[in-house]
Amino acid sequence: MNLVLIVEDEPAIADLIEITLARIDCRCVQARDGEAAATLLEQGAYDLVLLDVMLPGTDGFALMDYIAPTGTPVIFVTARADVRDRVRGLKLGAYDYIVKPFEPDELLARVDGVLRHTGRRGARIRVFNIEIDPEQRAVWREGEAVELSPREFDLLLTLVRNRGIALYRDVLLERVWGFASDAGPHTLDVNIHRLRKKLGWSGEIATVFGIGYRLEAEP
Amino acid sequence: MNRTRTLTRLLLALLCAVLSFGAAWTLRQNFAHTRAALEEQYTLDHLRTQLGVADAVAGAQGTRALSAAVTEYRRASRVPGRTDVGTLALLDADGMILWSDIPVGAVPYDALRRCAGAGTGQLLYARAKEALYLLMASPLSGTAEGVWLLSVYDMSGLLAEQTRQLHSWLLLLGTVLVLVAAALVTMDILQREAERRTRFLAAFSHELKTPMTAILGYADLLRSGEQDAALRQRGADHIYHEAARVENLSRALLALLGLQGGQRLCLESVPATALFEEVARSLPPDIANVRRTAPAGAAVRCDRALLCTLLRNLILNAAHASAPGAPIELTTAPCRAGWRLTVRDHGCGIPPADLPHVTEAFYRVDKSRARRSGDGSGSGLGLSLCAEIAQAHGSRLQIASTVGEGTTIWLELPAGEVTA
Repeated sequence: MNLVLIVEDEPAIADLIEITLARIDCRCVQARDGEAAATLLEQGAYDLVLLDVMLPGTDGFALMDYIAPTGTPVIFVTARADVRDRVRGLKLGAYDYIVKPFEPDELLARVDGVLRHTGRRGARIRVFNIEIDPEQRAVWREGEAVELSPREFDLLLTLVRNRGIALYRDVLLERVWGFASDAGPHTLDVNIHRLRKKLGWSGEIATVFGIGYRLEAEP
Repeated sequence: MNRTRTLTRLLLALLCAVLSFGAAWTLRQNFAHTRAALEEQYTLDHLRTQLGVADAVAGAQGTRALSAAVTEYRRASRVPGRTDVGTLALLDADGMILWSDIPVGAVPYDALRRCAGAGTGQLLYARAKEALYLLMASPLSGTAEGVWLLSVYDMSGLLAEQTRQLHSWLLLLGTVLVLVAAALVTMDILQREAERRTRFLAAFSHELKTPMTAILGYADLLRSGEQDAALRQRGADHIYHEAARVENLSRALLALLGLQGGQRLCLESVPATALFEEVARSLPPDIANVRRTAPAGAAVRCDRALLCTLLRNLILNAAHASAPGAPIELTTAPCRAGWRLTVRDHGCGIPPADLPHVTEAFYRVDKSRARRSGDGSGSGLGLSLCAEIAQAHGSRLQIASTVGEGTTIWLELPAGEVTA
């Protein structure tokens, strides 16, 4: 469980980030402006700060000066796509810069990446009897390496990041094979079948009738 | 941005200074060269004259004979049509003029004496009235001791030329300075316009991207899998409200573009009381404390719907700036143009630095994006729309504000006919 501070004045977006990050086991605290964020940072330590630039009062860049000495990694999440702004943000010591509108999956991947990079969570994800290293794209089953094709690996990661949620077939196809792909529903079924076989998961990946597949949550 | 502007100005000023200095220097050099050439030419002429006169007067005895000899020499050496030859004078040892063809009174006698005193080869300038003379003297050989020959050359032409060049240089400099000033002003205007446009685009994309992020994010969440009911409800709610926000923004933007594109107004005479009544009815229920004052018979010529939008937006802004329940005054008073409509609040006020920008699209004083419902208000376009509506009526939105005391915004409209 990682603690993330979201500094964002738009409740809709702060909520969206919180809901998204809950999928990778992050607990979030929200601050609506720079002053509130500074107070929260003073009161406790966070694993990561997601920082909007345009905030009422103290803006995100200014707040960065305050956060940098604490060593907490920062990702800017902002509508300002200007290259100069990005450079400025990164120069100030931000780890990453995500431009709105962002895909929740992209946010997830970047947050997860920063947390692992900075040693704030283990390099490996544990699911049932399986260990996954997203960075190395490697999988172990009870300590033994499992060979997965790139698609199988992406499919596994998508399932893992949406544990407990029944994912629609179309969305799975789109996320793993891409928008423009002509992969049919059969391709998905074949890959799920192989995953089950290679990982020894028969019941863990459930087929949800009329919807798609779900990776069961840890009991 | 500002540093570049200052640097450009500095460079231009420097360029101007260098150019004018260079021009002045060239002018001076030019003049000095012309003068040197003339001096050389006249020195030679003087030498020639000196030899000629010495030859002519050789053997002449007495003043009379001397004078006759010189007169004869002058007559003989005259070339018809030549005007650049000098005039002559012979001075004796006491400084008395023995002979002269210098026009009477042209050159001060004092200058002649000083020139003779200066000695051979010395050039002397004498200024008399508007003219400038070059004087040079040498002792006349072959005559009695101490007779000096003086040549006087009119240099007025040089003076006139110098003045002419100076005038044309000043004219040129003046023109260049005016052009540079005009260029600077134009550059400033263009730069300001470009900055305004950049700000508009940045703000507009921000206003669009924020709701889009929420809409896309929640929609993605909902379509990807079976979420629990509470999350579904929350997501749908956010999508609905953010989409409404985009719709609100696009409506305000369309209204703004329509007005900027010269939309025709539907002008009619509207009694102020009716106008105020209509505005009050359109306000959200939480804005109740609007005090309306309209003298009987006050009526304005306006586009009723647009003016209602304008007043409504101003009141919504006023309510936003004020503490809940604080009074907002909506008044009508006679003015020279007709009637002045004023919206006044006792809220937080607008800092002077922000005042010139508040009617710019998406400009926000508090930089927060707190939203309210309404036509354009909360989209960041409310006040821009008001300013455009006022302008479409041939009026102007005027704003006076003191931080901590409140804001007064008014516009003046022509009086309409009062129907009995």
